[in-house]
Amino acid sequence: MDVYAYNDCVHQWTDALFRFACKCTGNEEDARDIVQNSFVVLWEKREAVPSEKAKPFLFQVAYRQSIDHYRKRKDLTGGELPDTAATADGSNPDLKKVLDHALSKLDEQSRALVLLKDYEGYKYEEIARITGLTDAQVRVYLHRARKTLKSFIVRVDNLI
Amino acid sequence: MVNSENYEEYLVLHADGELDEAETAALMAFIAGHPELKAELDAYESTRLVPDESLVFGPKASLLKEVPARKTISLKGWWAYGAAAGLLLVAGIGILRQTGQRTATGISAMAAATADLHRPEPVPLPAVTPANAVAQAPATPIRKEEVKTTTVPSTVAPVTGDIQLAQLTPRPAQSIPQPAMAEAPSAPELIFASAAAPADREGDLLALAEKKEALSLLGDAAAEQIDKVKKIRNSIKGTELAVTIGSRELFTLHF
Repeated sequence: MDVYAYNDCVHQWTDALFRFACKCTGNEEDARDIVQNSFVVLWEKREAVPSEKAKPFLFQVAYRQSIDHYRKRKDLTGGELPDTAATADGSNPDLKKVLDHALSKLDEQSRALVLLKDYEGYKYEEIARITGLTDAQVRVYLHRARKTLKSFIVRVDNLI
Repeated sequence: MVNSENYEEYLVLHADGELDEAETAALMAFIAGHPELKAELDAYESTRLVPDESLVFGPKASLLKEVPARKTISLKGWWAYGAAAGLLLVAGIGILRQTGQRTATGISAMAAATADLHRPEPVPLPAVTPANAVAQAPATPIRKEEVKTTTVPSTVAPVTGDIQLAQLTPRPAQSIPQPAMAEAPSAPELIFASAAAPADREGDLLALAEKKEALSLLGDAAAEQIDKVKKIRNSIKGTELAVTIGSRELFTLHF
């Protein structure tokens, strides 16, 4: 990958990577650091990373940094993730807020898996390659996360 | 096959977007047959997260890397050089064809005239005596040295070099029967290349000279073009050419 392809990756994937890191860490400043570090690593490894593999490579680096960040914060604060900001879509703000809250209650790994699945549309195998898990592990963790989110929504619906 | 034991697995796979068309159709058919499960389907579909497009990193200048300076390569010079080279090539081919025709004409005339000299089967030679030599004197003049050597009988074959040489020179004269001589063109070019008529020889030399000149011209033109190409190559060495549409780069050529 040359400098032109690298700059193309910056233009194409920075915002998506930032959103992923924001939801994983719950903090925009931490997310910004993660994005910058991810691109530093990509630049250093650009000779070995072809252009078409740049996106999963970036998300792989961001995922590992998010997990590391969570573990450091867990030691300090107990691991509870603050609720993320409200979304701009006003069509169903309650549902989105509920989902954001539910997402923050998941463990860091399950949260990352759901984000990779829903935000980026990766298949189980691709998520396995990014996270270093097996296909079976990805499927099981995602299913559990999905059921947790669903039970949150059902509970809120019942309350409403 | 969706049933009451595995339908929840299908609902989760459906929420994950992992079902194909057939599996999705099977799930929907099952749900249609069990309306009480519709709410559960809706709940799982609601768990799909939607990215917040308003959440952006901001200015990306701190992430971008500086690109090397690029030179604009004008292709106009290339077209001119290509056109000039094409014209020179056409001119050179034209000159070559002309000189080739002249040479071919001279060669064909020589070939026709000397065809009899190169007959595969041997021609019986009459014994040559001084008397014969005088009697058989051709209508066209023969050089003195040839007259001298005709006195040597062709049947005698001494081995010494001088005599061999003497025998060689008269062979054409001896091998020409009178009728062949009579049929030959009037121009006295029939005996040997060394004895060819001055006019045709001059024409051949002219053709060869023209050919040489044409080749020399082509060579000079080619050398000139090669120098130009080398200069251009040296000037663009180390630069890059990027092909873009709008602001989007398609590809980059590195020289």
